[in-house]
This record gives sequence, C-alpha cells and structure tokens, in this order.
Amino acid sequence: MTIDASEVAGTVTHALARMAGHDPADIGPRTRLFEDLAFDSTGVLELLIELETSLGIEFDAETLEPTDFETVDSLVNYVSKQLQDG
Amino acid sequence: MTSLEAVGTYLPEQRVPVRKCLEAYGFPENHIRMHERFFGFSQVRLDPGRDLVDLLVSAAGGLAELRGREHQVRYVLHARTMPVVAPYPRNPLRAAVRRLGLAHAVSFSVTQHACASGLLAVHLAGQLLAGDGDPQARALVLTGEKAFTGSARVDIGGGVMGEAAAAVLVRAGGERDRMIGYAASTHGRYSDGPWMSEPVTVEFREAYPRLLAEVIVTAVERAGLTLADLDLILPHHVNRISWLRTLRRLGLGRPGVLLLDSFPEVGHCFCADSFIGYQLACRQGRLRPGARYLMASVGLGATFAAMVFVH
Repeated sequence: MTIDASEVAGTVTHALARMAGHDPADIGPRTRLFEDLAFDSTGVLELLIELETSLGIEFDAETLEPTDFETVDSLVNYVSKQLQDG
Repeated sequence: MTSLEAVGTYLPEQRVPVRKCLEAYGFPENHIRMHERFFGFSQVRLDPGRDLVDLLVSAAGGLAELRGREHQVRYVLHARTMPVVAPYPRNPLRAAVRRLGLAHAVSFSVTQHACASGLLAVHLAGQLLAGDGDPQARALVLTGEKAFTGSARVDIGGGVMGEAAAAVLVRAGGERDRMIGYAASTHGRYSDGPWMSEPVTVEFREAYPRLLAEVIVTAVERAGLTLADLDLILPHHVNRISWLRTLRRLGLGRPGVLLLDSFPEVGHCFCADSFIGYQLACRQGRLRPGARYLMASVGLGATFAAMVFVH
C-alpha cells in the first residue's frame, strides 16, 4: 500500500486528537502519547484499532515495541513501516 | 517434593466466537476488535446445559490414573477464582466429590489468589501430603467454573472467560512433573479487582508486566535455575500483548518459549489455563523428559504467581 508520510502523520494526528479530546493543531511530532495526551497501554491499542480501520491494514501484534508509542513521530514511523511491510 | 502425577482436562464442545460473547456483554466494536486482534481471542468453550458439578466431574473423569485408586485420595481442593460459585445452600464441590466416589476425602475450596489459586492449591496439596507422610496418599485439585455473573465473564486484564476445566492428581514425592520452585506475590493496592477505580485500573495494567516478570524471576531463582533454562512457559490465557511485554522485559525473545496455541481456542478458563496448556504441550511433544517449564497466572485482587516444574 502506498501512502506518503505526511498522509500517515495526518491520519495519526487526527486519531490521537479525537481520542484524547485535543485540537489537532496542538499535536506535533514530539508530542508524547503517555505524558502529554494521557494515553495508557489500553488506549494505545484502541488507537491502533482506529488506525487499522482508517488505513485498511492490520498491524502485527508481535512487532509492537513500547518505544513505538513514545511520541507522535515514533508512532508515525511505526505505522509507515507496517504499511510498507504489509 | 510435590509433583503432578496426572493432569486431565475437559473442554466443552460448544464453541462460541468471542465477538458474540462480547456483543452480548455490551462491549463496543473497538473493544471487541481489541480482544480479537491484540488480546489473542477467537472463541471460548461454553457448556450452557451443564452445571458446575458436571464440569468438575467431567474434568476428573479425564484422569484415567484416578480410577480404582479413589481410596488413595486424601484431599480434594477446588481452586477457583470466584469466592461464590453457587447460590446457598448448594455446594457443588461436595456434590462433585460424592459423584466421584471421594466422599471420604477432606474437601475444601481455595479462592484467595483468584485465578492464581490453581497454583496455590497444587502447592497446598503437596504440603498437606508431605505433612501426612503417607507415600500412597494423593490429592485431587479441581479447577473450572461457570461464568454465571456479569463481572465473571470478562477479565479486566483482557480475558474472555471460558468453561473448560482441569483436574490434577498431586502427590508428595515422585520424579515426573516435579515442582521445584513456586512464588506468589499479592499486591493489596489492587484488592478491589474488577471494581477498582479507573486510575487504579490504569496503574494496574501498566504495572502488570513488571509484577508478572518479577514473580517469574523469583520462582525460577527458587528453582535454582535461570530464565535461560526454561524450555516452555504455560501462561494463563489473558491478554497476549501483556505476555509479549512480560517476555520482552524478561529478555525471553526465543520463539516458541511461550505456549499460545490454547489461548484463542478455549478462552480464559479461570484457574485451569496452565493445566490445559500442559496437556496440549504434552500432545504436541513439546515437553520432553527433563524439560523445565513454568506455569504462571495472575488473580485479580491482585496475586501474581509462578511455578516451575521438571517434566
């Protein structure tokens, strides 16, 4: 599947904003999911379910690393890689 | 030294997709998909036409080693998650014991470690038998419950409850499936279980892999082993993601060290999961003589427990 990085970033940002109740404009690449947006491990999985629906892919649960969810940027990188590998 | 002389399981024939269960319990779509996609569930085995007595008797019925030796059974322990499993004055354990021809045995329930009570019951059974000093004496540990209340049907840690059951014939002494290490750790901060406040529930979920890893390390150390010595882990069937996080924390990245095959097929069966996994591992030839394996479970309330055996 070919989706460019900015499109992935936009999809991730909007999903995060909707779930966390923030304005998308307040969310940038360095925004931290746990500390800044108050996500927890279950919230992150809910986010992945949302992204699976939005992007039409399935993430490989075995590949999930905690570092992939540290910041918006790391999550965008993870999603982009999954899209490339998928 | 405590050992498992035989393990029998009962898997109800009715297979129900977890989606159907979770829809009936009122779960939203994204949570249903989370259980399917990430927590590792596909279906559960349920036995709607039969009661708890039938379940326990069926589990023990799978133990060929028990037949004709009922007189050797000195203790029957029902290890269970829920303190209350039947309306008063019904006593499913006593009824099961009578049907199994074990009315002479001392029978009691073990509940204080919730889903980790199965391992506690094995430990207690071994201690009681060792104290008696009769090498012929045996204890029967029964596991399996009916999810008959709403709060019993889904584990907040990420498990959909099934009704498979297991029976374990325990002895003091013996060489095969010898228990060489046991650790249990109760964290009272989480004692409200399914009724914990949202902030404490979140804290529990985040602490879960660390607390599980700690008790596994303690059990392995008590067994005089290192994590590298473990050939197989037989997990309780809760939240595959949390298990992967726990293994990562332990540095156990070896493929196949965690038996996940029974996970999607039967659901989280209260105290029976690791014993169901044991039988599956034996059938798959994954436990060779001398193999070191670990059973682990977490009970809401919250008790983390791990037990190490030599096959």
